Amino acid sequence: MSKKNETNFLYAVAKIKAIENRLLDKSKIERMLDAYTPEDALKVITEADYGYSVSEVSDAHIYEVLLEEEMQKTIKLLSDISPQKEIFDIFMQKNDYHNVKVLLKAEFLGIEKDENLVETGAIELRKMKMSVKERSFIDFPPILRQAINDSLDTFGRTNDPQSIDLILDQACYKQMLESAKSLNNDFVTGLVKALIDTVNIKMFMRLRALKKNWDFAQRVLLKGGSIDTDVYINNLESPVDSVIELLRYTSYGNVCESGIEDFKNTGSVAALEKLCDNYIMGYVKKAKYLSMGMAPLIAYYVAKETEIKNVRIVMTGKINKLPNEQIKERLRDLYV
Amino acid sequence: MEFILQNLNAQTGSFLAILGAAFGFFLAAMGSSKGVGLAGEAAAGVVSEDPGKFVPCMVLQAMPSTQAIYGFIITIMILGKINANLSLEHGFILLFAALPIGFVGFLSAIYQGRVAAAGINMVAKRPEEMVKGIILASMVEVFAIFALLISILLINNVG
Repeated sequence: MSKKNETNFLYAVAKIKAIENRLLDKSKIERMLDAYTPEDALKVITEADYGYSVSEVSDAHIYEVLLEEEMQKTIKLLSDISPQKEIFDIFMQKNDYHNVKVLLKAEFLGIEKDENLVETGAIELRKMKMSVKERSFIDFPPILRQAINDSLDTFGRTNDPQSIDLILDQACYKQMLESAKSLNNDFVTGLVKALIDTVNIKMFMRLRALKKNWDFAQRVLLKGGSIDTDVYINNLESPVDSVIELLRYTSYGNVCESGIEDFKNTGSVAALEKLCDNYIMGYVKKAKYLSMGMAPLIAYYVAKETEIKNVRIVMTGKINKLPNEQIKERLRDLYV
Repeated sequence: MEFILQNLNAQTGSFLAILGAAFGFFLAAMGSSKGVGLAGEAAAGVVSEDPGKFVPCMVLQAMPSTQAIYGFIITIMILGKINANLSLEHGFILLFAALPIGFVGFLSAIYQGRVAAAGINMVAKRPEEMVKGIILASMVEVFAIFALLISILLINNVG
């Protein structure tokens, strides 16, 4: 992006830097962990001004409402102050695809699953519901429209709800990458590529564990990442150590080495997932020292998303009375 | 014929000097406007969230305005040298004397504005480090001061 454009973001970036001070830091997360009851833990996030309906939430079990509201609040804040609204499309479009998946699957399985829908899509939820019901996708973006038609078609032939997920996920990241490229900003394109790579690495390990065949892998693995899908497909059946060796000299070397090692020992991808999230956080942390351009705004979004993920981990841990060490193990790196 | 040429020379000398006076100020002031504007946007962002940081933000915002003041000084000095018998040679000297503060002032003010904006972002995070932000922005100021000195030395060539 040209320098001229960069200075358009001065106001927004400075405002975000001031707002970043209010992100939950280590000590606040510690306070949540040290709380005896879930209600006490919830107090920390209500103090941090989470959501809109703070005063009405007294029962710790409905903290999800707060988290959802907080996400909406964040998106509203960012698109209010950003001189270029479309920079958050990459995240909001992801929610569109999620909504479409939920709506289509709910319809085919004949159930109502409204609680899984998210309000923070690029397409308004009410309109989305209507469009899916009436099968009119005229004003949807072309990639989304194509993907919906493909998945309806495939489902009609195979009756396999999983095919909806596969096609829409594939299209979702294609759309994200396209939106990122249209912004012409290296930071954002790099972020989407890193997201694709981390999804692929996780997927790759699951595919191996489930002993899926090449054909299936071809459909599942996302295209457009910095590591080509062929690398995964060719190594689908090679031993774990050679996979680690292969990825060691990419930027994901660290993630793979300890994540896959853990996977080998425990058979769970939890550690790998955490490392992948931390990798993304490490990537966006680069924006911490930038004072102009869109990167700090994107980074704030990712930071908030991670914060909400952490709050969810702590809250579910507290409600299920897990020991603090176990909760801590799952927590993601913070931005601040 | 000779009389006309001499007469023309005298007027061209003044003309060139006035051109220099205008250049020196308008370039430097344009740079300052841009620089203060950049820093001001960042300052507004921080103050909108935290009104208590107005003072440090304002101090940093004002830093790129000095270039316009330097340009102003040079313009006044050049205008002081202009008289009816200014030779063509002196006219040229005064024109070129204005260029250092004009161009250096223009660029340094913009870059200082960027540093000031970054400093304002720093103040948003760590208000106690304001002085460091000011020092960083002053580094850019040094070049504008050099330019001012050179411009003054050049003007002094005209007796």
